[in-house]
Amino acid sequence: MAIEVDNLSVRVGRKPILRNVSLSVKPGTVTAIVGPNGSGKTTFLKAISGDLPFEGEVLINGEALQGMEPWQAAAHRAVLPQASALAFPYTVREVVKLGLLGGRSGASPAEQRKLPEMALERVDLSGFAGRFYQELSGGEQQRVQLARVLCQVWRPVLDGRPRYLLLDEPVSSLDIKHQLIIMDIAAGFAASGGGVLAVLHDLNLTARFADQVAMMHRGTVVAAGTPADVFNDGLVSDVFECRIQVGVPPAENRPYVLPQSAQIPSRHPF
Amino acid sequence: MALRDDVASAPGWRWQAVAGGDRSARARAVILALVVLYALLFVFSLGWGASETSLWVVLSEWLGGGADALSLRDRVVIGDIRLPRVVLGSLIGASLAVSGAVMQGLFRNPLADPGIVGVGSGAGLGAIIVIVLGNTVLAPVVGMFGIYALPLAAFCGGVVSTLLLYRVATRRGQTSIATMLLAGIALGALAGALSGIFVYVADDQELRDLTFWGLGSLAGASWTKIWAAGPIILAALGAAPFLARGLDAMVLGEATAHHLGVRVQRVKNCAILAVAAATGASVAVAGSIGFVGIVVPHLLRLTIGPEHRYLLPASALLGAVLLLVADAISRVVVAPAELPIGIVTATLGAPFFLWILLRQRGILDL
Repeated sequence: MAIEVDNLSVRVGRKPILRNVSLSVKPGTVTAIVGPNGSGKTTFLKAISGDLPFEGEVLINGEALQGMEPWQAAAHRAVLPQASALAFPYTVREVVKLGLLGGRSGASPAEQRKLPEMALERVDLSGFAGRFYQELSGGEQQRVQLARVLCQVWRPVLDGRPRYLLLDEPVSSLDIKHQLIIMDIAAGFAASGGGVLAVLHDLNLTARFADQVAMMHRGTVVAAGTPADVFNDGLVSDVFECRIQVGVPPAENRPYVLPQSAQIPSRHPF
Repeated sequence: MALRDDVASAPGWRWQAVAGGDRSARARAVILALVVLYALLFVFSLGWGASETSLWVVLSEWLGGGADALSLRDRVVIGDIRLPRVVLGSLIGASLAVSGAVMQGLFRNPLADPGIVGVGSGAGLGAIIVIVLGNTVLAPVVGMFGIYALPLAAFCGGVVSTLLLYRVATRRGQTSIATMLLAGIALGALAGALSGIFVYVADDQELRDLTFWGLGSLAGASWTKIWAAGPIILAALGAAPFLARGLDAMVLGEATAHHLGVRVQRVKNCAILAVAAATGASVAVAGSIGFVGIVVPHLLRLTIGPEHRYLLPASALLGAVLLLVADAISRVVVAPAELPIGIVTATLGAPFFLWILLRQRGILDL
């Protein structure tokens, strides 16, 4: 039981965007994808969400993604996109309730009615149910979307099968408190037996919360493992093409990352 | 589609928090009120008209005063003139309003209307061809179908142009909504130009027929028309509830709808087919009646919210109510003659539409 990605390649026209990416997202873990802009992180997330045609194999809990109907895939995983614009004036509660559309939240019927409020409380938006989505700030909208996604897979394990959260930059427009709240939710989902795959830009947040990291560069995974395995001065500096210092505090196995400069002295042409 | 962001972020929306964010109780109350209002209007419309057959007579018949209480003339007036008119008006009002709501959901644009899928322009072209060529080149064909030639041509024109648009916008099983919108504009221009050619060669009587067809009217309502258009409209209206879930999910975009478990392409297919059939049938029997499809769903979104499981049935009811009211007005204003109903809906609808635009631009915050 896991999301198993084997030799996944994606082309747009003739241009290869992803080449032979293999990765597994195990239940009980938070897996992070990091990498510079344009390295293929979002494309990868879209491919395993079923939004893009791809070559290779994606298995979700042993079933091939290609043969799945949308409603079957929706029972296995929920997807948080980078941005969502609404065309009509929905209230926050009405947006969150869309997560219950597939009817596979796993909540009891009694719980189901309160689920939107419970999900909003988790993302620190209790009391926002009656507000209009469009009047919220970008960060609040992002948390409303997360609440919707949580409703879809409220129970991290359903009928003995783990479920997955696929999050595309879930903390990109949030303040530091809410970044930590969201990452705690992800970690809690994994601790309850679900699996989380998140595209992240913040390397320190990644080091703090991810159990597994896959570092992408130009459409391939160049390194994968625990944050301590993957984050080292040389690799991080090479992939992001700038000077970055990585340290590990004593008595902790979680590294931290200090950006130094956009210049790489050793490669400077002069 | 460029309008979408404007509309969503325009300062003109009045943000008034909804207690608990749950408008379903309000929606149910509004739907119930509309049912009552519609029932009252239905009875009222039966007793309303040039003949002296009064509301009282109608009620006495309905409340069991006995068939003897009615004269033969009254029975003809009510059963063969007014009842078909009320039924046809209701069907067409519901069909136009629901089609508008479905198109706006599909295009994620509150200004979309059924005309966007090319039904109107195609139907118009079909009608013009029959009116102008009916006495000459197409005389044998028109003769074969008799009075049904015009509605049939309009219906076929509408559905064919939608299918054409759909083909243009669909690639590898995926329909691009944006392409369909743009292609619709191009096809509309082409149909307009072709219609122009027929208008150019038309004689005075044909021009007059053309103009009246374009204005829309319920004057020729009959049971035969209802039997022709009713089943198509009812089938399309019956499909609408099954679209509600998909349209709600699509409001966050096609990708998110897919993530939520919706078969997006199937929703698009059903929505486009239902709208083409319902609008095609309406236009065929009553000409083009404008603005119902935009005004009704918009008005309802302001009161009960945009959730389609309430919006679609409420639109059907309010569409029918609006058309019955417009029909009553059209029969009074220039009595004993009557105004084409399209003039009434446009006179009411156009200012309202402008008000929506101004309000959303934040220029006029009423």
